[in-house]
Amino acid sequence: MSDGFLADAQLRDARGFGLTTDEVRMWAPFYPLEIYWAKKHHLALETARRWAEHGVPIRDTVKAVAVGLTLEETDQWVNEGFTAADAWEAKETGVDITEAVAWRRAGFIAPDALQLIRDGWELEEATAARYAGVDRYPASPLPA
Amino acid sequence: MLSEEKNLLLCQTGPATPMGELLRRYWQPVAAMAELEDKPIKLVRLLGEDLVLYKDRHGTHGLIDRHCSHRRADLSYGFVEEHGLRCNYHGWLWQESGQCSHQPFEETTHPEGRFKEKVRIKAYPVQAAAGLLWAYLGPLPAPLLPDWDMYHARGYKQIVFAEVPCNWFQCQENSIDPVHFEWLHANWSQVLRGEDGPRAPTHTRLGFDELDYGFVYRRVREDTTEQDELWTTGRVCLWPNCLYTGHFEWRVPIDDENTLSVGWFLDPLPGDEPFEQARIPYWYSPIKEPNTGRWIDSHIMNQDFIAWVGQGTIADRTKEHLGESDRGVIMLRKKMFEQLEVVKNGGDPLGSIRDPEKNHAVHLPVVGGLPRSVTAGQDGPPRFPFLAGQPPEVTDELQRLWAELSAIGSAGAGV
Repeated sequence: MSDGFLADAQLRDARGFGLTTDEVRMWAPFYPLEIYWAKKHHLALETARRWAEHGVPIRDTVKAVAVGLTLEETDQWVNEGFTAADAWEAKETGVDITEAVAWRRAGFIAPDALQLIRDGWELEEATAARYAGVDRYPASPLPA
Repeated sequence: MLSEEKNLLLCQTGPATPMGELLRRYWQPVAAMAELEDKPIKLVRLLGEDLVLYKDRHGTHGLIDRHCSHRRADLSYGFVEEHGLRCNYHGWLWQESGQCSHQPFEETTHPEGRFKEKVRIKAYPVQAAAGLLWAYLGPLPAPLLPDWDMYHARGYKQIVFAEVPCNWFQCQENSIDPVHFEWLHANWSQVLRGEDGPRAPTHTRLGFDELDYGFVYRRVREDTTEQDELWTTGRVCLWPNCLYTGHFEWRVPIDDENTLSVGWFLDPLPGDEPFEQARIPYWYSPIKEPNTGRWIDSHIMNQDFIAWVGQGTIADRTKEHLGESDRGVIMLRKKMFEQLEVVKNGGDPLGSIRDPEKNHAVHLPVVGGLPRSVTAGQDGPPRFPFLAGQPPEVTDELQRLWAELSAIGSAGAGV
């Protein structure tokens, strides 16, 4: 079934998502689902390629563009060890890198932290809550 | 981690709860079509509502309140008529629309009162598709019942139910948790078999995409690359309460503390002649060992059940510590919270299909594509790996069909 360029799975998904083989070829190396998603959200191929060169998948590019996050800003997040998904979700939530780093240092991965922030949690409060019931007795030095 | 309040928002599915309102916007599988052919009345508890599903002698399905509107007798002990379900207490007859159509004593003594026209019972729409009966408990007009492409694939289909004593949402979180497969299924199975060999290949990368009907998760393991279909195609976390990996696993809330696992499976069959399955069999999978009372751990979904019930009847998400492997779970929760708002604001939630033109063999990505034929060199159907307790008649029927179709294929090849 392979047409020599596209794998069977790509042809299958291309048909399923209503894409032509020409479209899949034009958008290579994106997968049919990614192409479908990009087209559905009117993401230009050029933009998709530019962001992909920075390692940003289509879904995250679509979200980043929607929340007004630039590629340069995304790079800043990635350089701090976050993902592109963290970057657009932080922008959407109104959280900057410094705050996200503080939560990460306290042991909250970015999407967990961002959900907590959206729910109105402060870092100290969340940190205390997550250990509630874990340390039943505070650590004390052994008797001499 | 979530606050208790947010956790309950995900878990409470009764009438008038936000999640209950969201889930009521989707058709939910509640029984097998064959089940009602065997016995025309089934007690159904769905989203905390006690209901009775029936098939009358005319062949119409109905889903109505378990309790008769007269004096609340239990209609699951009623009996079906040519049209409708009759209460065994005083003989009131109910139609699938919820209308009362006969009240024997009232009509004898006071027919001009036309009391029956003034009495109704709670009733919900039912549809039959893919060997299942589906219920819709939301506001009308109902969306279309999705017609997934896999329903049309050639093969032997079977439906397996299991009642799992925990909340539905921890079951659905499992649908977007790729790493659990490595530990709960691969490594633990190895331990259960008493094997000491090397552990299963470790996950090295996860990816997530959205589609119109949920999420796709992708994985790369030590033994695969980004060229593997596990990455290029991935698996579908089907919105709002299903996993699709070539078979379907719906996690249907019975109430907030119990979930009906509804599995829909398709085994490829030899040859390529048209194959129509007259009756899709169904069975109920046991989840506990009868002798010990311990959970059964021999099959893939049984292992999932152990993880789910182990999290507690309703998982306490105020006490969890989420890591990188949980990105999908967090994403699922975020989308749920967003969709709760969509419904609250009067919108149509994610995945609703209303255009009939777009509801024929709707495509869902699946590794390997729709199973069209058996793997080369396979000389019989594989053991059913998903749930314990497959009845011999189902195993035998599949083996018989396999042998018959293989023989036809061999005869054809010899011509």
